[in-house]
Amino acid sequence: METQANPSVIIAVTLFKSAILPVLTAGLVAWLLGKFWVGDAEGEPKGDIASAVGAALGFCAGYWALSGFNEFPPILVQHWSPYFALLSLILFSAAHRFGWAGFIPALLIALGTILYLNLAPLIKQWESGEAAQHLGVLAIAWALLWSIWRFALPKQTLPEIPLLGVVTLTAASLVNVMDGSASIGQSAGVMAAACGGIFLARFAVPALGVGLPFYSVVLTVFGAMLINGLYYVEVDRTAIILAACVPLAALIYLIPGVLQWSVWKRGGLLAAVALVPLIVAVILLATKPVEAPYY
Amino acid sequence: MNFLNRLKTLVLVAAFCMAAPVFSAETLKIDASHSSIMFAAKHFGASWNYGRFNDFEGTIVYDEANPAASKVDVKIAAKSLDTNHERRDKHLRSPDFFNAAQFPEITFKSTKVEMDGGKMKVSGELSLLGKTQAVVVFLEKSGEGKGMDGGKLVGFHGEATFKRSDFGMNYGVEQGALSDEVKIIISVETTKA
Repeated sequence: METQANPSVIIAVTLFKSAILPVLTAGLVAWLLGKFWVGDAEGEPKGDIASAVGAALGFCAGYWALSGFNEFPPILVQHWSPYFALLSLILFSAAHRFGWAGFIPALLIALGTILYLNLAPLIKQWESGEAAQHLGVLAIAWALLWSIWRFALPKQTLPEIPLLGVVTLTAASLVNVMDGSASIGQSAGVMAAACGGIFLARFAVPALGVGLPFYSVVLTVFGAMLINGLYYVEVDRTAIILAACVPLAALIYLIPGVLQWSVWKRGGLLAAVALVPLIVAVILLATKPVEAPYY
Repeated sequence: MNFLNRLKTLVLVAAFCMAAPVFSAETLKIDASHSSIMFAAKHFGASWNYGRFNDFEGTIVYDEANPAASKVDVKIAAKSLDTNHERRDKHLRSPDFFNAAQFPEITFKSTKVEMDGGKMKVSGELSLLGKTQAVVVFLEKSGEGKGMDGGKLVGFHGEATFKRSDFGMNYGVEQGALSDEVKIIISVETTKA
């Protein structure tokens, strides 16, 4: 006779693992590093690295709490995602000091490794031309998104950037949950929560940065979750493309004089632009022909 | 001459003895259009929810006189699962359950066959989600007949149970939403390969 948990306990445990644990881990790690390692000086590479470490560890903690700490190397390719976050943390923390000369090799190594490991079972099934087509399109789209963030996000630490991470990962979470896989969706939600932890930690330690190492961890997990959704969960392609458009909201920083706006006005515009594709994706998935619920 | 005749007789007898087991074991091919492979799991501890695989193939080497010499080899396309609910099927194909894109095939290969009461106890290796575990299928001959083309048809019916968590399929187990124990029901019709 198998035991059945109380539904409210199920929801509480899932919420703890996918939201509270990553917020606490990311926030606490970033706060501790900020307090004892970064110090008070804003704009230091240490501040960016501290936030990235917090976000990556917050994601790993939530992910492994949800999915269990599995064998290494993982049998299921989806279980690579915490390792992708850690790889990105190491690569882009190291590349941070070297400008574009550090960014481009780090990006090539990250994309090559992540795409290969995440799509290895399908690469074996595809014809070589087909594989080149899939990998080429994904690599270009992902590199473009990464470069847009690098180009558009200002050098100074803006408080709303972690919130852009929250909305971006929420988009990846919602499209997966609504169209096929609760576990992939929850994993994306874990990263959204970790970004929330960094947002909160910055109130206590404003020197925590949100530069290249931090947003690289965010974009790594975001891309991996959309790839999982597209290839392994069969999420509607239009919904995936719409979710992929959410981080393009970073382009608002190219509006002349936007940095002089109040944080509320700037944050409001950022949220509005980011939410448009997300809302369209949610409407698209919510209005699909409904079958009887099966949960 | 006498000696040569004796030798010929001996060789013929020996050849017949060696060939006998080969003649008694038949290699039978599963006719998927007259066969079903179903699976079932319990939903919130209440009822067994059934699904089926629509695409599979396999052979049964069947030796009625010596069942221990029988062999079973089945290959199932994970993507072909069907529970009569499109959204649930999509969820079942996803990494939460069968992860059909990464692991398109489920296979079963027998390693040992013994008689257990009136049934064949087929011990074998089930490969699912990249893991291979020992599973026992209780199989019995359900009947024999002749098809429209006059060919011999042999039917088998079998059942097995295993824990899906042994293969890393853990979604919903902890919460009791969907049972860890999975039942497999096999009803196959075979023709001579």
